Amino acid sequence: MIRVEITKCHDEEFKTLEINSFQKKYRSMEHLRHRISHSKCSRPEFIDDLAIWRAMVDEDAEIEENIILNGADIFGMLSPRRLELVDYLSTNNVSSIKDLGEKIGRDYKNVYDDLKALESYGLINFIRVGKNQRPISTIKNFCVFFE
Amino acid sequence: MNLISKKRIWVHKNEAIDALEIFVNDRRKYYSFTYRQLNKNGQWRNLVRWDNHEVGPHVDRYGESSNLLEQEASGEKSLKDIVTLVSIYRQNLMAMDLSEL
Repeated sequence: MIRVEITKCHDEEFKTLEINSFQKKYRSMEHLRHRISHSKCSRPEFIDDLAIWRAMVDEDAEIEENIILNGADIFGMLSPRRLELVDYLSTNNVSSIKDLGEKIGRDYKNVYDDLKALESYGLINFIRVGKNQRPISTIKNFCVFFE
Repeated sequence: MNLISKKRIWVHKNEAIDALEIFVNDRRKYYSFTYRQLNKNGQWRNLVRWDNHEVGPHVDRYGESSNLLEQEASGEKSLKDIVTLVSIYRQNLMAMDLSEL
């Protein structure tokens, strides 16, 4: 049995970006609480966002993120070009998907598709900055276990 | 220590458990474990979710358009409990008696 464990490390900059992104998305915690009470549990992601936002602001909590996959499916999705994107984002900051495409010399559509596939496995995150979605990678470890 | 722990555990090709646990002074204050399915358009659909928000520990079941179908009180859950339960029953959870989950 193959098990893949991906560990992500989120620093203070990531926390600041997350808080800013919550503020842009929901305006305020009070506003988000209001949306939760109106959505009546049909949007549970609002509840999680509020819990995370409060823990970051009120408790100064650290963020730890892990992705665990059983089986080798992920390797079917990981092409050399996609790994290149993860590698580039691990050591470079970009302001948008377009900016990333320009920096690595690839067209927007292909980069967008690859980033969406990587995001679905949690290998990259998008942070909303103004009108742009900023792709980032915070992967610290990518471990494969044979059990 | 105050910690936000996020985990995504894939239980099948297009199914995962998204776990969020928030610890304040090492005590777990909040949890949510959401069993979700990734559709062909890359959108996630919630199927069953356990959390302890407001009304205390409970389990929710969602419909086709992610609308809340049912809610029942449940015991406090650990991630290990949920991974075991979901790995065994997967989509059969959608037809099971919610009060048993």
